[in-house]
Amino acid sequence: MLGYTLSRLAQAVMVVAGVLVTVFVILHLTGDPAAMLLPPGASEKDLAVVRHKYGLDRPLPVQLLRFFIGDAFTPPGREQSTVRLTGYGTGEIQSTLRRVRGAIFGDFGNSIRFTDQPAMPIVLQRFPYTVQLMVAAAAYSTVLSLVLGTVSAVRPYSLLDQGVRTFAILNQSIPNFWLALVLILIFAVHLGLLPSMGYGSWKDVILPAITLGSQSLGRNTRLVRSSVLESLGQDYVRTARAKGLPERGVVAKHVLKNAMIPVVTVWGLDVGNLFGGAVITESIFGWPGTGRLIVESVTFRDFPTVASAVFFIALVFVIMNMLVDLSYMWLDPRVKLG
Amino acid sequence: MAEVQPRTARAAWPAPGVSRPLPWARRRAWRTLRRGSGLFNLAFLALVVIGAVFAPQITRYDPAASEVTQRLQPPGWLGGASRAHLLGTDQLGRDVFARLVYGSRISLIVGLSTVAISAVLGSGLGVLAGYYGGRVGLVLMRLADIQLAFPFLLLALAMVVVLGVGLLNVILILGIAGWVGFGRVARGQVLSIKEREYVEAARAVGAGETAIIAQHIVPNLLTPIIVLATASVANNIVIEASLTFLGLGVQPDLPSWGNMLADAREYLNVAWWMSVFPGVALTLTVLTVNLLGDWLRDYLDPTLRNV
Repeated sequence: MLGYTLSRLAQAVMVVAGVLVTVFVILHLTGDPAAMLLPPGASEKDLAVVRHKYGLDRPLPVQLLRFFIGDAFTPPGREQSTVRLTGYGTGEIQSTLRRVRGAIFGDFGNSIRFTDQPAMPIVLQRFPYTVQLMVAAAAYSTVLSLVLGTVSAVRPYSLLDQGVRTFAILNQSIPNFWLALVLILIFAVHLGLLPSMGYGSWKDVILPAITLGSQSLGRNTRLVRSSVLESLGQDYVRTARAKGLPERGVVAKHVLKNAMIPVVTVWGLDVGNLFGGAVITESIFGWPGTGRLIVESVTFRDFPTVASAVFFIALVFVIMNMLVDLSYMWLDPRVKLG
Repeated sequence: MAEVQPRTARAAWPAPGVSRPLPWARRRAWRTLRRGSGLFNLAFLALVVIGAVFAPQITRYDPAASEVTQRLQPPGWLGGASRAHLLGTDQLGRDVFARLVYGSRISLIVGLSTVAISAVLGSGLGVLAGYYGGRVGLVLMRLADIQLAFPFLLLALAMVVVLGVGLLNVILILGIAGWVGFGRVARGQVLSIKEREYVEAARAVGAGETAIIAQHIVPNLLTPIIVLATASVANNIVIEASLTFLGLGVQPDLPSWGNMLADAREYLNVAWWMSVFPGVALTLTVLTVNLLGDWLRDYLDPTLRNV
């Protein structure tokens, strides 16, 4: 068991290293990284200066090493340094750069949009808001899918069941961003019940959470339904019924507990989907989280911030998936390790 | 002496697992189609395809032509000032119905071409990893693990930063990034098929690697790949529309459903038709492709049921 934990951990570390290499590759594919650090239309001479200062004229493996643990984003050997550039018509442009420690510590240099601020802290500041939204969405989709899936499975092929199944597949198929527009149209524009965007009161979280939770609500409802249906046919359910337990008790005590297992299983998957969905949901509802930050940074071509955010989210995702995998071991000893 | 015809030889020993659909199976397919919403799905999808192909014949409006005097007209059947615009006009006076019809082209092109790229790329690499295994297989699967560490939409966003906005770029990004699913499915399938007796038998009678892959491995891959491809079409249509909606997908001047909804967002409280119709079209397309995928899965491989 310890062996499995360690090997799973090693695997996670390798994946994270791979993620960093990917970010490095993407960074180099964006064209000239030096051009990113200068205002558009910088002269070839200035580009060469910056390229040399940042070591971008060195061989790629050296650059990769510096990207990982070095000072790829700062001129070597200085805590704080100022790059002086001329030739923009406005006189001198100065940019102060901090001493950084490399991507392994989550340092991808300074944000381009928020000049002179390191990118990673900006991402971290926004992250708790995303977590709030994700927790709200997960709670909404989990609770509702358990209720709907169960009532639907207890009376299969009834009118209620048909309704629930339609609702589920609709939730799965409706694109997040359109659902957001429809919810705003109904609840904010026409009924005036809920705010269409913002962050502050508890009312602000309702529409974003419904939007973000819709995909997993749809899938989990179908999952719970089929898994409850399956457990209803099991021997232990017949035994429970035979000993005179009322149907309600059978479902609550024996069926639901087992039906939870597949839902817990897809939670790990859901985290990834929620991160993806958060990008859209936060942008529409003006939620101050990481997702909206990413979209704004992409539009701004603020690559250090995009890289920080993507790396951080990938890191969280890898850790979550590792924890989910490890938790199987505790939850269900029958699970084959490998 | 009679020559041994390859065709007869093959007919005598049909590759196991590639049984042709029997008449009863065809009847069953028809029955399930008729019973559920299957026929409706097919009809709607046919409508979308016809709309995409014959767009210029269906509407006489140019989806890009703006008419400033006809801005934000409600749908014709609601007694808008101009009855000529069936589903109303947008903020530039462009006909919503025309844009809707032309928009299906973008969705279909993106959905089908991206999945074609991912399926070919992914299955090829998956077969390579599964059949030959070894170091290549290991490297490919590690690559897949690394890619799966990024939520798909985020990866697509990061790649938009690299390549820039545009229809072709979106197709390339989604097509290439989508290989992982196909690669893993193909590899898993190949790993189990290559140990079967009939593959061993083929090898024993001297069949070459290429022949084994072409005649035994690939036919057995088709079912799971088709099922996955259908789901991916729906998925990629949504992702393209989402990226476009955020302004990071296809060019803003193309008449696509994502662009229509992006425009509609600014006019939610004055022109509901701008957001409702493209959204309904998008949702119905995704829904019907999803349902078709469910049906295909149940029909082609009943063991894959559930979820």
